[in-house]
Parts: sequence; structure tokens; C-alpha cells
Amino acid sequence: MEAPVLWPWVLYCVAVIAVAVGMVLVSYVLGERHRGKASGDPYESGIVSTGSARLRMSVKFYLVAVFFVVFDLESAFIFTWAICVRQAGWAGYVEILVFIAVLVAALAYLWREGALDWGAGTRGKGSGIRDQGIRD
Amino acid sequence: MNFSDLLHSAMHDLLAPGASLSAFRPELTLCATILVILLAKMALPRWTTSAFWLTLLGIAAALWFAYPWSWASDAIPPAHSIFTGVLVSDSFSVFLRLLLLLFAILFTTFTQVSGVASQDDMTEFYVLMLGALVGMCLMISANHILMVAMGVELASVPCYVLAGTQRQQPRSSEASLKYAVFGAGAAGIMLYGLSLLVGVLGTAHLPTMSTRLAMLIQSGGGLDRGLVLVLGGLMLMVGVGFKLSAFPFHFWAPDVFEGATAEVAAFLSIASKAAALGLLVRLALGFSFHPDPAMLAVLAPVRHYIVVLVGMLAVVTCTFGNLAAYGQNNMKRLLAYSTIAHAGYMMMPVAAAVALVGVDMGEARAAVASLCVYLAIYLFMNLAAFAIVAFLRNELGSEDLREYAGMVRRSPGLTVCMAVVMFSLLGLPPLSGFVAKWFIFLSLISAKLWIVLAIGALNTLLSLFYYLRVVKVMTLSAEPLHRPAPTIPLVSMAGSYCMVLTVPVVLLFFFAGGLLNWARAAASTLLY
Amino acid sequence: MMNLLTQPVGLSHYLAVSAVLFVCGFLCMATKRNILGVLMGIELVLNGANLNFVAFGSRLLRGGTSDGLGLDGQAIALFVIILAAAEAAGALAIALNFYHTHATVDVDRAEELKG
Repeated sequence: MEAPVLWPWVLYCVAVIAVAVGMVLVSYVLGERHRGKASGDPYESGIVSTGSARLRMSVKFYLVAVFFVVFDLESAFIFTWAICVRQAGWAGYVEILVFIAVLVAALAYLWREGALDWGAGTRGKGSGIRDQGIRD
Repeated sequence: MNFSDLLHSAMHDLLAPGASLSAFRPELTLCATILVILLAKMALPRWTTSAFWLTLLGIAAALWFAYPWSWASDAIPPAHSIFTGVLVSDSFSVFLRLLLLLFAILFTTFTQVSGVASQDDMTEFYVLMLGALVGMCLMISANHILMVAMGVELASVPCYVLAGTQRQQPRSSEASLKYAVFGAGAAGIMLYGLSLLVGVLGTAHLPTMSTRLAMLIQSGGGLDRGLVLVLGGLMLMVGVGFKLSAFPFHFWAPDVFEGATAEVAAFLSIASKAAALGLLVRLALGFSFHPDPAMLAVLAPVRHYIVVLVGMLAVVTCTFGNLAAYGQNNMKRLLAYSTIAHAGYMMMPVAAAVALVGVDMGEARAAVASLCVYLAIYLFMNLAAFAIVAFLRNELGSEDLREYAGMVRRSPGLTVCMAVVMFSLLGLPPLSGFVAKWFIFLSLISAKLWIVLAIGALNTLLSLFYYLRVVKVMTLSAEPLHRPAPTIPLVSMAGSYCMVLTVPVVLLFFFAGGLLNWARAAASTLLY
Repeated sequence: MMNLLTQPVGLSHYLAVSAVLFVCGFLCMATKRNILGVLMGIELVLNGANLNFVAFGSRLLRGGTSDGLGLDGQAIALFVIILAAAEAAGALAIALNFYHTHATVDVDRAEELKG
């Protein structure tokens, strides 16, 4: 096996580093300097930031996110059925119907449990998921 | 074979009369039960105990489908793979599935008698239990890496949540958190190991994997591939070892058992462990066996590797569990270490079976049969022990061994039950625990695994003291001054439930022959 | 390393990436104290395994030989994705419950149970 030709790759790496370092250096040498009140803050573009960036999201969003992830991923199975729908025939159709029926049953259960309710006032009849998820 | 043919054969395999779907009816029944329970809670919110009755009904129906009605005692149909080879249906999977479903019936009754699931999250409790049960049924009949991964995850994830069913208690939530984090990590490592094994061997079908393995060894293979395979095997053992609570991966068991309720601990220590052992047998025999004698001889190094790995883990797990059980005052912790030790005992016949595969197939099947006997007896012993702990917790509000002092005067019946169970776990002669250990040691003798046998026997001696201590505290110690010992008569629901479990512990000693016949039948279709 | 850099992209490149994913995920699992960090590490490990399954199943990467995993690799990867989602959903619910009872998501604070 002949010796691998490495120099284009090394040259490429050097060029990448040179461009990155050069950009920082040039702006450091030529750039204008002034020190304002908020120069050290992140995102200073003339506006002084207020408050903390660490917002506490309501835990409701977690529930919605999890439901989305779970139901969204189940659709992957439906896609795999969709690419072979003709070959799978009626038997495949019945199978995917059963699969979707199970998903619908799960969704109906979540609905009934009150896991999909958004408002603060409408308490679901069920107790399990809602109390566990949304307590603060 | 092109895609269309593949699909066509899969459809035929699925729908032809007497094919895959009919062998899969118990699992399908369990799945349908889950849906019916959820729908019943929606449609009939007034019927508060719907989940319990429907669960019982569903498991009974699954048991009916799982029972091999059409088998004559002398003509057991050979193993056949179902769903284009991802699962295998043979007498071993039928036996273990019957065992799991029988346990599920007893367990569902147990949760109702002890009242752990009588709150408003009863529906979720039973749904999670049934989900885990389906996963365990997949584990014991896995014939393809896809089903190994699916079964392990499907059996694990509901268990994480079950461990935290008492949401308001910090200990319970801590237990489920630890279980989930460690379990998910172990499962991830196992999956990576599986991907390595599957990739190097170029197939995910277990019997084909052993063929490829033999071909690889025959052709000289190459060290790098061998290293990847060894690494993959170790990673796979991390996942299986975690489910078994084998030595380096046992640390979750005492914490989870202490934090979770005694009921859930019973579920984890029996059903989960039985399924993990079934999977271990499938994997260990799957990689070490090939129907062609020439190929079988070639696989000798693989067998050696598995015997050393499983045998060593078994010995260390057993010794560690028994040593750590000393000085435990929390009953659930003590039983957790006891189940770790028993996992060690139960891994021993697997090592023996693999060691015997190249030598004597009949003896190898006998080793698997001894594991089946142990599992059946272990089911009753351990469930009874956890049931007594749960009922005493309901009376005392404590699981501390020292609180049990002097129980023999107030509730002699229950004390006798506990003593019987403890002596049986220890393995004393007039009880079934002795039979279980006896068959396992016989299989070790025929496999000539003398070191494992010696350490196993030594361990039985080691475990003597902490099992005896429980009995001693309950009988000889004086009642604590601040309150009387608990009173649970045998004619109550709790007392009679304990009786129902303790009687088989005694009877299975005298009817061990019948059980052994079942176990022999269970192992008879393996290794062909 | 030499031939990885100079050869056209093949199976070993995918394996290298998946090994890096696995090691990163494992380190993340072992060192992070935040539960969410640990869960992210687990996801990385699973993604490493998935990459392996798909790469081993690819006929193109195996040079057209038919003894590979074939569609099995992709099927396993699909199921692993779903299982990972289910596991993450369960583990996050458990983490949330832990936060309710302990007011923290630090794994090291789970220390009440030991013996």
C-alpha cells in the first residue's frame, strides 16, 4: 500500500486555524475600544439586560413535551408501514389499525385523567397523572 | 430474497393457522387486559376495584392459553420459532411463562390482601405490573437480539415506576430514582455490547449467531474480532447481571428493596429474577450450542468463556450476598441480600449446563431442569417471606427485625410460617428449599465444577446464622416494652394467605418427584 | 488513525464515531451529578449503539455482501429509539417526583438508603 497523502489535510487544518485566529487577532488590533457600564455583560448591544436568564418553566410543559415525544415516536412505526403499504396488503392494514387503536385508547385515557387540561381551574376527574405532574 | 417475498413470508408466518399468533396468545391476552383496564376506568369510574378483578381475570385467561393442554406427557412437541424467528416457543418458555403467570395471580391477590394497591392509583399499579409481565414473557422466549433488547426494557421500565408507587415518601422516590438511573445505564451498556456482537457476527438471530461464531473460530478469526466479541459479551453481561442483581451490579437491590414497598420488592425479586435467569439460559446456551457436532466441538472456547464468567459471577454473588446479610436489621434489606445470594445459587446450574453442553446433552438438560425446580420453589419461599414482612408492616408500621421480638406468643401461626420459610431458604431437609439446593449441587457434580460446588456448600453454612437470627428474634427474644408484639391470627385474610404460600413450601419437599418431572419436561426441548 | 483519515468513509468511520459517542455518554453517566445530565449520558450511549446497528446493517458500507444484518439492523435501531423515549419519559417522571420530595435533582443527595 502506498504511503497516504496527508499534506492536503494538514494544510486544510492549518488554514482553518489560521482563519479563526486571524479574525480574532485583526479585530483585536484594529478594533475600537471603549469601556461603558455594561461592556462586560453578555449580549451588550446598547441595552442593559434585566433579570435572570434562568426562567423556571412551569412543569406543565414537561408533560406536554413527554406526550409529544412518545406519540411522535410512535408515528415512526406508522411511517415504516407506509413505505410498504401495498406489499403489506389488508393484513398489514388491520395490524396498523390495531396499533393506532391502542394509541387512541392511550390518548383517551390521558384525556380522561386530565393530563391534557391546561387551565388552572379545570381539575380533571382522575387523580393519578395530574397530581403527580402538576403540583407547583 | 427481496423485500416483497420477505414481507409475504412474514405475513404467512403470522396468519397461517397454528402459527405464530396462536403461540403468542398469553402475551396478547395480557396486552388486551391492559387496554381493558384503562378503558374500564374511563367507562365505569364508579367500579373502584375494577382494575383488580380485571387483572385477575386477564391473568387467569392468559394462564389458560399458556397451559399446554394438547401435550401428552411423553410427547412434547419440539421447539419451533415464531414470528419469523424472533421468538422461540418450546417447553422451557412454556414452563417459565406458566411460572410467571402463576406468580402474577398470587401477587395480585397479595397486593389486594395487604392493601398496597387499594388507593386511587390501583389502575396504574396493575397496568405497570402487566406491562412488565409482557416484557418478562418476551425475555424468556427471546431468540433474536431485538427481542432481548425489547424484553429487557419492557420488563425494566415499569419496574422503575413500580418502585416509586408511594410517591409522597422520600425513600420510595429515592429508590425508584436509583433504580431508574442505574437500570437505564446498564441497559444502555448492554445495548452497545449487543450492537458489537451483532455487528461482528453479521446476524441478530441467536442460532445463526452461534453458526457464525463457529465459522469465525474455524477460520482463525483474528484477534481483533475475538477481542470485540469478548468485550461485547462482557457488556451484555452487565445488563443481564443488573437484572439478576449479580455481584458487581447488585448494589441497587438493597436500596431499592428498602425504599419500595415489600410487595414491589417481592415482584422484583421473583418475577424479574426468573425472567432474567430465563434470558441468561437462552443466551448462554444459544451462544455455546450448535446442532452440528463438528461445529459444536469448535465452540469449546466460547463455552469455556461462558462457564468461567457465569461461574465466577455466581460464586462471588452468592458469597457476597450471604456475608452482607449479616448485621442487617431492616427485614427488606436482609431479604434483599438473601435474594442476591439466591441469584448466585441459581446462576450455578447455568454454568453447569454450559459446561456439560459439549459432554453430555442429557446432563446439560438436567442442569437446566434443576434451575427450573429451584425457581418454582423459590417463588413460594420468597413470596411468603415478603408477604409476612408486608403484613407485619401493616400492623407495626415498621420493618425492623428487632420489632418482631417475642412474636411467637401473640401470633404463633405466623411465626411458624416465617420459621418454615427461613429454614427453607436456608435449605434444611424436611423443606423444599433443601430439594432445590440438592438438585443444583447434583448438576454441579455432574459438570465437575468442584470449586463452585465447594463454595456453594460453604455458603449454605454461612447463611445459617442470619436466617436463624430472624427465627431467634421472633421466638426467644422478649417482647419490646413500649408495645405488644403484633397479632395476626391464621384465620384472617393475611394469615390464611401466608398459610397458602407456606404449605407448598413444605409439600414440595414430599412431592419433589412431580415437580422434577415437570422441570425435566421443561428442559427436554432445549439443545436440539 | 492514518487510514481512517485517508480512506473513503466506510464502516470503521461509523464505528469510531459510535465509540466516541459511547465513551462520552459513559463519562457523562459516571461523572454528572444532575439527574438530567445522567439521562443525557444514557441517551448518548443508546445513540452510539443505534449508530452501530444501522452501520452494521448497511449493505453499502459492507461493500455489497449479503451476509450482513440487513433490515434487522434498522428494525432494532427503530425499536431502540422508541424504547429510549419510553425510558426517558419514565425516568423524567421519576426525577420530577424526586424533586417534589427532595427539592433537588442532585443524584448525590439520594443517600438516605444505605446500610
